[in-house]
Amino acid sequence: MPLLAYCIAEPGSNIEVPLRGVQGVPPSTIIESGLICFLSEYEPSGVNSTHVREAALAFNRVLQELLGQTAIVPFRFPTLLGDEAEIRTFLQHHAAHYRDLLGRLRDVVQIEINLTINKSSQPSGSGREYLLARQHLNRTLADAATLIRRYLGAQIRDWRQSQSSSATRCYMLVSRDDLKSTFEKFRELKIASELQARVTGPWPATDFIALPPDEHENSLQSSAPPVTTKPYA
Amino acid sequence: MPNPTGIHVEPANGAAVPTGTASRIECNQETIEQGLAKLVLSLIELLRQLLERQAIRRMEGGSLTDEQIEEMGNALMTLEAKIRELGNHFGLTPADLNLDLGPLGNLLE
Repeated sequence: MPLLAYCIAEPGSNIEVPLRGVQGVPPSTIIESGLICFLSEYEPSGVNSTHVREAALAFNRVLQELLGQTAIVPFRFPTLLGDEAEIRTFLQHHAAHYRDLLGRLRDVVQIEINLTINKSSQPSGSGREYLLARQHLNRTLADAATLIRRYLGAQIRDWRQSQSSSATRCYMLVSRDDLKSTFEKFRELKIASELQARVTGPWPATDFIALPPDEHENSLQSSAPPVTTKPYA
Repeated sequence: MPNPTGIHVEPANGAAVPTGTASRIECNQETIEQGLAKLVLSLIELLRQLLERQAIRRMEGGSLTDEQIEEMGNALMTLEAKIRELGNHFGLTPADLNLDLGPLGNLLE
């Protein structure tokens, strides 16, 4: 039976392995090259879209339980492996990269803020008015992101953001010790009335994880298979 | 529920799926039309957004005449309305057009 890979972490004697994983199967672990990987058996046949959703949520619960204890580098869901040897080979190849990464992420977690426009109105008016309205929304989104970044100041260890025409996503790394106070600060923050901000977290620091150089090259090939042994990194 | 400040704080508790496990294009027999529409509309929306950014940049830079601004704005507005209309026809929301490109991130960000 194929193995579903959850994540990689630094091995530690006090990590409690979640009792229940995807499809109700308890995750197991393997330790290789100074890294621990969490896996469970997975039966992909006969899985419909409802089961996939349940499986994705169960997968996420395992990640959250582990993230509560230590830094993790998650695999994309569903990353399926033929056997343990595959993941051992992968870890042997990239051990130095992931040990370094996990060392840097040990004390931090990721918080995401999704800034969106309140009302998604149908376009109307003149062409000039349309472009001016767009310009205004772009500026409002960018200003809100800047405001949040300044507001949180030194609590942010690292910051990334991306903007589309109707939303800005901000990703920040926050110390585990500052997590509670950061959420408290968000509750007091006020933003432009035409915007909504959805703050979620803590998440694994997936938007701050760089691929190992050779994996990055592979990931850019369009022929890459949909299911791979690559973590987010 | 959003609070009056406009900030909605939602701690991760297993109820939400994190970034990276977003939906994929489904191209099975039943959903092939919607899957293809999603792919095509996503690409058109990407181009529309690129054109819009360029138009705003040029408008801010003063390199467009009033007539050109009006024409570009009208064209982009019509295109946006058409994408919405087609999206509605296939049961797609604007968020559905933001395809997850795996390690490369989302298409429209």
